[in-house]
Amino acid sequence: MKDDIFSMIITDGKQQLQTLMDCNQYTEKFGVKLSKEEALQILQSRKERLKELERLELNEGILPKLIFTFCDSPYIYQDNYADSIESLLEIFYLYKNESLEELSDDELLDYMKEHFDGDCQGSLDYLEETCLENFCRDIRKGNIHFLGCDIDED
Amino acid sequence: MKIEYSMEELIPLLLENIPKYTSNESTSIPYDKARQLMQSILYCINGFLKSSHENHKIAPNEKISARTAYQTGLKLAQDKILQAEDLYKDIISSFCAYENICYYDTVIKGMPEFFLRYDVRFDAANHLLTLDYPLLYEIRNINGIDLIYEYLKNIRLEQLFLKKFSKKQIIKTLSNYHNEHSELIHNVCRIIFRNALACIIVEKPFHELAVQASDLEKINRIVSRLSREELELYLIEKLTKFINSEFEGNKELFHYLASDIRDCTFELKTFHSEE
Repeated sequence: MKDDIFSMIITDGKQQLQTLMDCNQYTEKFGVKLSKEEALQILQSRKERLKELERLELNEGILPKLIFTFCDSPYIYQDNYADSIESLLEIFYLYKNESLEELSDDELLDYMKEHFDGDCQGSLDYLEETCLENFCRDIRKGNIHFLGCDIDED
Repeated sequence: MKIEYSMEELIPLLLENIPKYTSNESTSIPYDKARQLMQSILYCINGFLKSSHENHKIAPNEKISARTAYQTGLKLAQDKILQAEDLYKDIISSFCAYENICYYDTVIKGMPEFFLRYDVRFDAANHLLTLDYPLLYEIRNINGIDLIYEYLKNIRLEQLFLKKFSKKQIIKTLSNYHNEHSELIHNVCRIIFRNALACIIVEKPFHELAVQASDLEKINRIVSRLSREELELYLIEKLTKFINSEFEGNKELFHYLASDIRDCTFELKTFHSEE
């Protein structure tokens, strides 16, 4: 079965664009919003990354949730907002692969947000190449079975 | 009859199965998982088509939707798992591996793992087990629950055949064949069947499972007199009479044991020509 089939599964582009623009209603409160051109760029980047990383995404995918998760970050502001979302999306897909599907979307997003705002101090490179790299290595080794914001306090 | 479904008909089924597979915890999956899910869908559809064809349930011009074919095929596969479980329980109620480690490990240790872990909905084509114990013939071109079901049917036939002989006599015969027979990865039934067949040819009681040097002379004369095709027919005839008299004409058992006749004939002719 040729994988081209999966990259050709097209979800409604107009609907996706509208969904992204609708996110602005929430993110504006935090001083960030996407222009239509930026939203289209992010959607194009999403399509290319999914094909490159050989992932099939359903419907609107992870983008709205990723936007809602990171829009209130102290390290994201209007000037770097679109680029940050694009990079975070790429990192998200990459580490869904690297974690061998052991992490749910929420678990990975929670981890990324916690460390992006925390020890990474807004550095995408540090998040990608150090924090997540180490985290997923531990998952693959079986050292960690679950991590996220739902850790038992005891 | 071949019904083909387009990707336009199959993709919606895939897109519906993905959230079920991920329990709605992921909005994306890798291509190889998507491929696996699609293969499961096709496995069920093919199962439905095969069953419908065999039971003449579809009219030549009748078009069944991919969704209906998939859902019906999935139900058929689920029912087959239950049938396989019943078959397995029947086998292990009186199973004997005759000291063969591979036989025991495959049937007693390995098979429960299949029933525990087989995922007919999301990984239907993956039967999980390597089925190290070889049958008299290799089952080809099927996988998943279809393969396991065929495998178990043949194991049951083997056990039925082997129960005609005393355990002590079987183990003695296997030991004569090879003193480390318990560690060999070979088909136990083949050794016993060929010894029984030899007894039948020389008109000795088949359950004795032993032929003398003088009996081998008689077999050699028969082998040398007949061409390969004639020898094959001769052995088939002997097998037919044996099955009719000892197993009430059990056709499935006949076909299973008959699958070894060609190789048996070849080896007899080859051995004879080398002497």
